[in-house]
Amino acid sequence: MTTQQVTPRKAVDLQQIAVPARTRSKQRRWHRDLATQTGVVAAALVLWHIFSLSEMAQKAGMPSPIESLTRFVELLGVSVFWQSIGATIISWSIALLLSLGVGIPLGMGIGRSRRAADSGRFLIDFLRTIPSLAIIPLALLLLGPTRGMVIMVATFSAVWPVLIQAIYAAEHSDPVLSRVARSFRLKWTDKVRYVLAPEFLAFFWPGVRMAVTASLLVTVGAELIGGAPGIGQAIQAALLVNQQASMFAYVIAAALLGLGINAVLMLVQRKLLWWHPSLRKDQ
Amino acid sequence: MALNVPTKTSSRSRKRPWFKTLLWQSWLPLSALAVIWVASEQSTSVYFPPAAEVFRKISIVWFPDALVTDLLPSLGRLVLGFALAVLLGIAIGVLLGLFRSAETAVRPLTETARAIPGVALLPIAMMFFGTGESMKLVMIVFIAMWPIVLNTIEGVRSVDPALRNVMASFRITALDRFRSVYLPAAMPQIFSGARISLAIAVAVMIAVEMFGTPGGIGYFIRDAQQTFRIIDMWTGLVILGLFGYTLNVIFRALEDRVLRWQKRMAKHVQGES
Repeated sequence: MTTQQVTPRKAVDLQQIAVPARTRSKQRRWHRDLATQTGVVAAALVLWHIFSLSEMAQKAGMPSPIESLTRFVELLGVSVFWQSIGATIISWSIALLLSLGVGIPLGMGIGRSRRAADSGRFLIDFLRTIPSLAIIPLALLLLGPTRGMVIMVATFSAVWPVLIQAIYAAEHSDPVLSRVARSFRLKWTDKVRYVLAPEFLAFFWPGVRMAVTASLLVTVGAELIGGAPGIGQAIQAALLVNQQASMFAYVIAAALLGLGINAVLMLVQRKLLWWHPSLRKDQ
Repeated sequence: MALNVPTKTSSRSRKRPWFKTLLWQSWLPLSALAVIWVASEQSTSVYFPPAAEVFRKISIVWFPDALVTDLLPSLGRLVLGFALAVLLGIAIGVLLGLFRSAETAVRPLTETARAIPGVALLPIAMMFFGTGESMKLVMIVFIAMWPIVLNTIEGVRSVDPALRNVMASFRITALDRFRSVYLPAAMPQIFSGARISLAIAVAVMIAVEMFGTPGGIGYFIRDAQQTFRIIDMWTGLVILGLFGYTLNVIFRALEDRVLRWQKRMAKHVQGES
């Protein structure tokens, strides 16, 4: 009786005192972090500027950050710029969807039987270790410097992490869960929503994340080396005509694209997998 | 229908003698090779030459000439670049892991460095270092380093806070703290970062070799394609596959050796509870 009376009051006290104090300090810390981060970025830009004035950078024709950024802003109004970014995004997303579409069903199928997993192990390990940029020459011979070439190479790089995680998911899925779903006579849609999706998403996610970064790297690489339309080719073209400022502007665009894709990934992760133990400590 | 489920799971977990596993693991690669061999026998396509031809060409081109002129330089570059990436990655990662405020301050830079598609930096590296050896090394180190940096930061932070108090009360020197506490604690995470970074290092190596001065397996494949020596190009791809596979096997053996204590400890802890 007495304990029942004491504990709630204590909890209320804690709430009244602790919560406002903590949020304020959290907010203050957030402000401080933002300030130092802006400072570091500004310092990096200043260093870049000083470096671009040095003799070595002058000889190489390195543009200053102001030149690069103004060129970047100028390019924002040019349709060619958006076309090459669009080309990269389209190639990348088709490659990603293809590797998900092939990798997940195939991996789930292979992972269901130990014999299939054993049979495929060497072949998957062997093909996975071939760096996908090395098949650019082969893809160039077959398809020429086209979007198909880029998609072929990028898919070849992105399919392996997805496939391996899908095999892993099928091998480690809990058979009890689907039996429980059956004994509760869940509807097909509810089974997907409440049983299959939560279980498998957490398994697929690391593979998806790796596939996203790998395919972006390889997409830009294939455009750069193979000469297919996209950011990579624009970088190479700007270098060939000695327009270093444009080249830097395109590299900035590539970096922003990478950052944007990463941000979207983190957002999806927070929306879909916030409940998963491995991610809960982040919040 | 529900009754046959348990039998299925029990058959999956049953132990199987090792030679049967070996048999299961080898039948598909061997038969795939056989199918490719037979199917390509009559091939008249320029792009897909007979497999027998490719393997005969491997013994002519690669043993021993191209092994010395192309594979050895690639291997040297990769080993040196990867070793530097690991050392730099661990050094930066430990520093940033220990000083939390410094890590938050430079996070925009590390995030950008990680998110940028590394090959896009190739032209910039070429501006400064030309197409020679230094450019190749700088690219490999700079791009392959980031997974190790990020994983080391995580690993260092996972050190038990109680250990920190113990180290403080025993007045353990910074070097000893690094050597006997932080490094071993971060080792599993460093290895999983290094595995990703090895794959990235091989990819970057191929990319820079395709652009750079002669010498290297990437240059060999690109050059063979541009001069339409298709069979040579295929030999390059086969050799590269073997190269990558061997690297992975070596890396896995090294990981097993270095992390043996950690796996034993995990088993021990699980066994007790």
